[in-house]
Order: sequence, then structure tokens, then C-alpha cells
Amino acid sequence: MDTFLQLTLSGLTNGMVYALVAVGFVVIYKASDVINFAQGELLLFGAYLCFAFVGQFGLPWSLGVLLTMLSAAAVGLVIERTVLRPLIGEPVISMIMVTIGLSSVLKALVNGIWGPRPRAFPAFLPSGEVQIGSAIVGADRLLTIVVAAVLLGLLSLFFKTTREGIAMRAIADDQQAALSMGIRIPRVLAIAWALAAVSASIGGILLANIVGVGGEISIVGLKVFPVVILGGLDSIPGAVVGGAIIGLLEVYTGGYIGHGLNLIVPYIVLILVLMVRPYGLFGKEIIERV
Amino acid sequence: MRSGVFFSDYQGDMQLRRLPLEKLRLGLFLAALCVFPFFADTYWLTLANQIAIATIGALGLNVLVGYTGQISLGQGAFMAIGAYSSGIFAARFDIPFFLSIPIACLITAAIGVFFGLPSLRLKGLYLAIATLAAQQIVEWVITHWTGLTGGTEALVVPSPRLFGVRLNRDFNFYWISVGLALLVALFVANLFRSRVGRAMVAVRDQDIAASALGVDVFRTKLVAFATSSFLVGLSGALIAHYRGIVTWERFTLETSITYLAMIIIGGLGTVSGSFFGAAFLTLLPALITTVGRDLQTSAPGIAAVLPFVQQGVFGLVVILFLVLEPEGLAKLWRNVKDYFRTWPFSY
Amino acid sequence: MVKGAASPAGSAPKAEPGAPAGATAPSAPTARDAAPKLLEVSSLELRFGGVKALDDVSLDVRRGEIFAVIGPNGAGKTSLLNSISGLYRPQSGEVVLHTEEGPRRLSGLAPHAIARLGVARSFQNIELFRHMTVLDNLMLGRHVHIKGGVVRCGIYWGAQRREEIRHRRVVEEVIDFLEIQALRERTVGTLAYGLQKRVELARALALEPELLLLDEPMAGMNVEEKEDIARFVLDINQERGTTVVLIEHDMGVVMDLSDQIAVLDFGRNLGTGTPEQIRRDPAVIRAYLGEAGEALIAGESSGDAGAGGGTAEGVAATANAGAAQGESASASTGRGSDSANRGSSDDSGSGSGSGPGSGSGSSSTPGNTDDSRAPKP
Repeated sequence: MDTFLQLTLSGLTNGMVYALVAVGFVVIYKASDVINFAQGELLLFGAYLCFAFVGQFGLPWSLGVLLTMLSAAAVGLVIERTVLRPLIGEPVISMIMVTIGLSSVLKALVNGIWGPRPRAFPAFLPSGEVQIGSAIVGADRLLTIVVAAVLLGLLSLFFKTTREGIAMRAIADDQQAALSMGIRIPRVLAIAWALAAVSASIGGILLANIVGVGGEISIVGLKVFPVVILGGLDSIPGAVVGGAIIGLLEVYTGGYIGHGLNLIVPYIVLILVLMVRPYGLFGKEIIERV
Repeated sequence: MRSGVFFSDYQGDMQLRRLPLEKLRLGLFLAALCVFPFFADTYWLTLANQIAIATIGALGLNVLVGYTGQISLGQGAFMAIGAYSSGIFAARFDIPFFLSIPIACLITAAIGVFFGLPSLRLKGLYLAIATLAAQQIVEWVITHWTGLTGGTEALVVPSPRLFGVRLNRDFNFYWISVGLALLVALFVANLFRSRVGRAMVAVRDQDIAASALGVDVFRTKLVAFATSSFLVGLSGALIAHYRGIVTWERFTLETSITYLAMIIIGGLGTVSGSFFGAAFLTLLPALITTVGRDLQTSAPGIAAVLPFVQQGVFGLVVILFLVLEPEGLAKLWRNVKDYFRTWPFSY
Repeated sequence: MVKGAASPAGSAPKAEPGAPAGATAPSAPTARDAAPKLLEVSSLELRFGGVKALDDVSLDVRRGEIFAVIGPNGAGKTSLLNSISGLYRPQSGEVVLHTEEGPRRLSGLAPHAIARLGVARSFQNIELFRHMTVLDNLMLGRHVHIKGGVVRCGIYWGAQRREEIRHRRVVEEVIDFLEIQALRERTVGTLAYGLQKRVELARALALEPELLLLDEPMAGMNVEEKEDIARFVLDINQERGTTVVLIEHDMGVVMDLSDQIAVLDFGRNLGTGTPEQIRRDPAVIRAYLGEAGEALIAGESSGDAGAGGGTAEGVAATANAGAAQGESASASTGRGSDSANRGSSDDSGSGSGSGPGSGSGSSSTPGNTDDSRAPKP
């Protein structure tokens, strides 16, 4: 039972981090139909920025986190302005490739500035242990889950209630109609990218607290795809549920089956979902009319 | 429209090179290719071989992505299948390269068809993600099926020999790689001025209208997957025999991305674009490495950063091309040709 | 009810299987009945979620005729064509094509299989292959006829080249027929709208179809272009013997060209008949003007014949030109159509329009309303 609880919490922790990255992905897709292959690198960048502010410059963690979020937002805005805007209307493959190019640039920057070897991250989440039932779990993991859940809840609320959130959903539905309603699309897209970058960076900060920077963090990025396909490309609740499921499946496979299968279980799930129900658990189906 | 050039039969009208000037240019290019190896040193011969093999891979990918519009991130996986198949046949079963390579291509084509099955229901983005998953799974299978592939260890492939001559010396291999590249280029060019190729482009542009004209869209996509995988498997197999070893790191998602970048930078859906992209993305890293080595004396830390510079430059180049010239080098080349064709009356 | 059904007993109405209440029942066997059927649509039902696009639609198309399908926007005309050509799968009903080799069920077949049986079509929104030349687009029309697999095409020299040249000749004939010689090498995306529509027609023709389905081939064209297309459609029908099913809004064209017309509204077939029959059908008029309009027509029974006649085509032209300006429009047409009704109820046999209101069939010019009938918008 202990193992199960341990694994579950571990899985949920990872899952929530995946969800934070996936949510950014979904936000961008909802607002602009763009697939951001660089979403994982935004997480990476966020983690390293925080490392720089808190670990290298010695700022207090609250300030460091704040600065990281602001920088991430800035990066998101810059990307949207310089790289994405010229590509509006280009075919899917161009859009995919440009974000892939972006991910290369970000990865290169991170490795170039901080080097590829793992670094000790000054963890500021409480590292004590908490007892749940008969299991002992790390407080940092617990806190990660809580923080992530709260953030995701806030984001969900944002989309349902605020003007910007509703505007984003309008744009995703019908750009022309949104324009004629006076919605300023470039502004909304910029907000989308800023949000996505901030969300990913928070995920990165949380993860870095647990596993440090370097190594493991960089492969999280690719996991965003199984999560969003499972959850639905345009669904925020889907990103959360998908993240949780993938995170849990990974640890259960690793814990109970082994053989390295936990590495590809997310991709097998992805393919199964695509075969059976391509729009995922909560995604909307697109109808093509001739 | 070119003025003054008329043909009295359809055969003439449908040629690949219609103007005498074009034919001349092609002839000169071929002549240069024949002469080149006698004057080049090992470094340049190696590069030439790499470019030729990459061109074959790029042509294969272009058939699927550029011409048929099916986005695929599985290039690395297909090259791996071609490389490992041919390598295993040659190393373990002593099958000579001129048999193991075609067999490997056929195996890759068959697996390619299997990869293409999702294309029945998935389009664009979803297909790209499916191929991404497939790429990861194939990578995992290769690194974990140690019995077959040796897992993460390098697979050693015996040198291809013909009549006692060792063929994977740079000079000798040049004739194979470049010859095959030319044949594949011709094959692809022919394909797209005839029935099957037209159907593929139709599937890319308007698959609904294509089906209303009698094109079996699903079958066409599968044929595109098969043909593309055959050619990509060929490039993988050639790498295996050229280098003498097969390592899984050469066929990862990064490889897939590199080849996608090749055809985008080169020009989607063009034969010349496949070559331009392959050449560009082979020469560029080589150039950076050379420059880095030269700067080593004045800035000693460079060596450590070099791989990241490569990565960053790659990303930048991709972004720049997509933002500034989405139709790639092939379009730039067309602009150059147009300029000279109408000079000095370019207006 | 079309007036033919009200005629004396003794002639059994030709009831089609599952025919709706308003279906045509000509009193005497016509020449048309003797002609062989090419396409038979029976009780087609098509739903999208809760919306019924086609509601128990039946009709049949005879070999060699031009069959028009008309109706207000959203009536289900394109859905009908899409169902015939296999792009939509109706929930129930049948579509049967009577080929040379016998009847073939089209329902349930994939679109490319249907194309192979000799059914070609054009689309309401142009679906040409934008990045290809006109020539390549037309050669694609030959796809079902050209042979050759991947390997043969890749090798090209020899068999495949001969095959391509053979079909190039056929395509050149189509190019001559539709007079688009100058456009051969042009990339389709760069052509003017009217020319693109013509190329799409050519592409469908290149398939050498038995049945040609045209979805608003004249939409968005000026008078001259429409006349060109109309001429081509007629040539296609008369010179090549191709059966044509045509969706079109322009009543003048429809009346001039068609041998038979079906009227759709809200997914239902309101009636099928000759142009003469249809132009008088009150159900058709109601479809274009609505219940209020029909009441207006019925209420305004003055003896004045009215200029131009309130025929269905006149009404439709009014409605479509958007000039139905409330009472004045319907009033002016009302008088005419009412007299037409009175005139036609005296007739027996298929409509030869002796009533004063029915005047000359060509009184409405394409897309324009007669000044005498309605106030200028």
C-alpha cells in the first residue's frame, strides 16, 4: 500500500508539472491554432532563470520567482512578436518547424549559458516529509501538486470569466467574427504566449525544486504531446486530467512492470488515443464542409 | 512563360528540361560531378558523400511531406530501420551489400506503410504527433531489443566489397552515393510529372476534390509512405555501409527534425530543394566546426560551446528561412535564374 | 400539387417509391418515361446531428437529359449532390446508377469508386488544385483512365510516357472544347474566378463521365460568362451525350436549359417536372416567398394580368435578386401569378401556359428583375 501511495503521489507530482506545461500549449493552440513545439523548452528556460536569480545572484526566492515569471512573460511576448506573427496564415508544417527552430535556439541558449551538466538548485519548497496514512512523502511534492492545482484552477477561471479569456476562446472559434467584435487579435495572442511561458516556467521552478536543473528536466518537454492528445488539444481541463493520467501511468508502469517501459508508455497511450478517439477526452471535433 | 520555345509533340512539351540553356546547365553540372573527385581531398570527398546520402533521404522525405503533404517526424526511425536491417543482414548473415541494401529498403517500405495507417483518419498536426510517437517507440525498440540490434552498442558492418575492391573508401563510395542520388532524383522528378505523383499532390492540395476525381486518397497516402520510406531506408542503409558502424544516436528525433529542416530550407516539394537543403545543412555544421577550430587558439573555451552554437545556429537558420523566404533555397535559385533569364530587362 | 395530378382519372399517376406527397404524377406517359434511367435516388435521408439536410428525397434522372435542382439557399441541394457523389453518407435511402453493365448501388461507395463508375462533379466553392497548372489539373481529371503504378511512373521512359501522351491528347480535346487553350500553363490559383470555374468544368469533363454533377457552375458570373457556361453545358449534353444534373439559382438559365427540374426546400423534394410545370407550381412559389407571400398572391385576385407574369421563375428571380421589397413587390407579382393560376387551372395536360400571366418564359433576364414588376432596389 505504501508503494502505491508513494507512486501515486510521485505520479501526480509529475502529472501536475506536465499539466502546467500542457496548459500553456493548449492556451496557444486555442488562441491561434499554433502548435508550440518549444513549450518544453520554456519550462527548461524558466527553471534555469530561477536558478540564475536565486542560485547565482542570491536573491530571495520570492523575488526570484517573481522575476522569473516576468522574464518568462517577456520572452513569450518577444517570441510572439518576432517569430509567430510573420507566420500567420502559413501552413501547419511551417508553424511546426518554426517552433521547433525556436526550441533549438532555447536549448542552445540554456546549454550555452549554464552548461549541460546538472546543477544544484537552491530548493525553497519545504523539503521535509509528511506522513499520509502509512506512507511517507516529500512535502515538496505535495506542495507542487497543490500549487499546480491552484494555478490551473485560476487559469480555468480566467478563461471562463475574464474578458481576455473569453476573447481568446472567441478567436479560437472564429477569427473573423472576433475581429468584427472589436477584439484586438495581436494583443490577445501576445497575452496567450505570455501566459503559456509563465505557466511553463512555474512548472519548471516546481520541478527544479524536486530534481534540480539539468538532465531530467529537458525531456519533460516532449511529454506534452501525449498529455494534450489524451486531454484534447483545445481543452484546459483536458490538460490537467491528461497530465495526471500520464504521470500516474508512467510511475505505475515503472514501479510495477519495469523494463524501461515507463519511457514509452505515454507514446503508446498517444497512439491508442489517436486511433480510437483522436480528439481526446475533452477536445472538440472539427467538421469539414465542402 | 518562355518565349520562342515551341514543341511540335507532347513528348517535347513534357520534358524535364525544355530549354537548351537548361540542358546545357544540367550537362555542365553532371560533368563537374564527374570531375570533382579527382581533384578533391578526403575532407571534401567525405562531405560530398554525406551530402549525396542526405539528398537521398531528403528526396524521400519530400515525397511524403512536400509533395503529398503528410507531415512526418519519423525520418530518424526509418533511417534507423534501413541502417540496422542492412547492417544486420551484412554483419550477421554475410549477405553482400548489393542484396542487403535493397532488402533493407523493402523492409523499411513495409514498415512505412504500417506507419502510414493512421493517415486514414489523421491529418496535419495529428499525423505529425502520431509520427512523433512512432519515432520515439522505434527508438525505444532499437535501444531495448538488444538481442536483435545490440541495443545501445554500435553495430559493426563489414566493408562492402566488389571484386575485392573496398567500396567504402571515400573516393570509391562517391560513385555509388552520387550515382544513386542522381537516379533517385530522376525517379522523383519522373514520378511527379506522371499519374501517381499528380495524385499525391492532389491529395495534398484538395483531398476531397481528388477523391471526387477518382483518386483513392488513402491508397495514395500509403503509396507515398511506402515510396518515401523506401528511399529514406536507402539513405540509412548507405550510411551503415559507408561508415561501417551503426549507432542509434544517429537516428533520433533530432535527425528527423534536421531532415525536415533540410526540405523546408531547401524548398518543399521540389527536387532541387532536396539537394539544396541537404547540402546546406551538411555544409553549415562543417563550416561552424572549422571556424571553431580556427578560433580555438584565440578563444580556448570555444570547443566546449561548439555543439550549442551548432544547435543555436540551426534553430536560427530555420526560423530565418521560415520568416523571410518560406519557399526556401529552391525559390532563391529560381529568382537567380529568372534574373539572368530576363537580364537586362528584369522589369 | 402540380396541376398535372389534378387531371381526370383514368391515368394512373406514376408513383415513385417513397415519393412525397407533392411529387409529380404526370397524367399520361411522356417521352421521358420511355427514356432509360441513369440515376435513381430513393427516399434519401441525411441528418447532421438534429438538422435534417435531406428529408425523404426521391427523384430520377434519365439518360441524356439536363436535370436541374433548384431551391432556396440551405434547401439541401449541395447535400443532395454530395450524397450522390459519395462525400456524405445518408442515414437511409438509396442511390442507384444504371451503368452500361447494369444497376450499381452508389450509396455506401467511397467517392473515388463512384468517380470510377463515370460520375464527375464540380464544386460550389472552387476546389481546384491551386498550385498546379491548368494542364495538370485536367490530367488529374483523367486519373481513373490512366494506368501506371509507382515504379512505372518513376521509370517513365517507355510505357508510362506513351500512356501519358495518349491521355494528354484527350485533355487537349477538352481544352479545345472549352476554349481554354491560352491557360494551359497557368497556375490555377492565378486565374480569374470565372476562368477557374471553367477549368473546374473542364476537369470534370476530362473524366469522360456519364453523369456530370454541377454545383452552381455560374455562381458569381456576369451575363456574358453565364451565357458561355450555359452554351458549354448544352454542348456537353448534346454533342457528348453526357447527362447533366445542375444546381443553379439563375431561373432564366434553368428554364432555358433543363429538361426536368426538381425543387428542394428544407431538404424535401417539393416536386419534379418540366420547366413549364414547375414555373406554375404554387408550392414552388410558396417556397420562394413564404406563406405570407402566398396568401398575398391568393388575396390579391384582380383581373389584371400584370406585366411579365407571376410565374415561379419571376418570383424566384425577384426573391433571389433581393428585390422582394415587402408588399409592393409581392403585390405586383401577385396579380400576375394569380392570373396565371386562374389561367392554368383551366388547362388540362402538361402546361403550355395559355394564361395571360404566363407570357413569355424569357421575361426575366438572369438575376435581374423586370422594372415593371418590382421597384428598383
